[in-house]
Amino acid sequence: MNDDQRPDMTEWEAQVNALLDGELDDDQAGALKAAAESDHALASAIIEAYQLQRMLAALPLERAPDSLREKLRRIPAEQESLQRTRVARHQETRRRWFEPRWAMALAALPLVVALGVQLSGPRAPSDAELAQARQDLAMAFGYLQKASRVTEREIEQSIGAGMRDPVTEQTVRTLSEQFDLDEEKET
Amino acid sequence: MKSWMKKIGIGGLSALMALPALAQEDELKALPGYVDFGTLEAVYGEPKVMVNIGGFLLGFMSQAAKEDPEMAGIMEGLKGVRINVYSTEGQVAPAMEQLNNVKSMLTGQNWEPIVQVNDEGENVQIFMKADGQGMQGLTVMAVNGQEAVFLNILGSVDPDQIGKVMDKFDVNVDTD
Repeated sequence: MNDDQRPDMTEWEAQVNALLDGELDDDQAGALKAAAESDHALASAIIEAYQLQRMLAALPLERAPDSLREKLRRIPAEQESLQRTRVARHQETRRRWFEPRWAMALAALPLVVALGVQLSGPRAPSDAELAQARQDLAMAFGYLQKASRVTEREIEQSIGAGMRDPVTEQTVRTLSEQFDLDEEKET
Repeated sequence: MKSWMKKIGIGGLSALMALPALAQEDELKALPGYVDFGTLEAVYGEPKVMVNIGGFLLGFMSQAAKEDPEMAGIMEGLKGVRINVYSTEGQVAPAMEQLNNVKSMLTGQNWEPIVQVNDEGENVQIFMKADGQGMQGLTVMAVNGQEAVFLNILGSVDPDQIGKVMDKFDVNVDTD
């Protein structure tokens, strides 16, 4: 038998097992025997399998504990029950999506998405928030004025009251000029 | 509804609600008048005053101030106001270090020093940034034994106008 005509080892294994279990008819057993005569690996596999079967057959049979036997006996029934549960759950899940409350939830989905988009955009501040912001702004300006007073005081102490006003006025004028420049730009 | 679904829902909504505030802060950072003061929380704890008003809120305040010409005048050029005030309680060294760091940074970023007072126990620095189109920002840093003030005004502000509107507010920031 050339390589193209040879079945793979998995197929041989199945035939060897069937042979040892007495499941091959005469023709199939004859064909396997003929193949083994020209295939050393197959012949070795048949012999090893046969010896293994003999060894297992020689082992004394011990009765399994009752608890194990009971567990083994329950496996087919449990598997069947599990399969039924899976199918039922799947059908239940499918059915739930078509229940009115879920249908309503699905219908509401575009609304929820729209709400999310709206929330992510700017929202008008409340009157209380505006009042707080106004107070915060005044607080910030208060600190600005305080810093100005400190600088005025220090300038006065350093160069005298007579020179304080020209200096501070120059500072204010510098800032005002920039502000005027902004206004001109806007107009 | 399962608890984890609730958590996800609440978390998602909270994140969505926080987006505008984050967007405002990012908007301010992009402006040329923005100054990164860093933080002194590790030394002084949380600031006793912390204000962060962005252009979004100022826009609404400007609308609300339409009937007050003086207030409207101030709001007109403003793009943002940020201030952090820490209680120094006599421990001025960390705040002074921060002030000097920011001062060096501002000088390197073409901010002009307007007024600088460095007296015993009192240091005040006022910087302004302007270009050919006008004022872009004003920065005030003041450190003494009571407090450390880091103020950043983004946009333009008319100092004459500030004095006129301050009388309308019940604000007292004097601690000394």
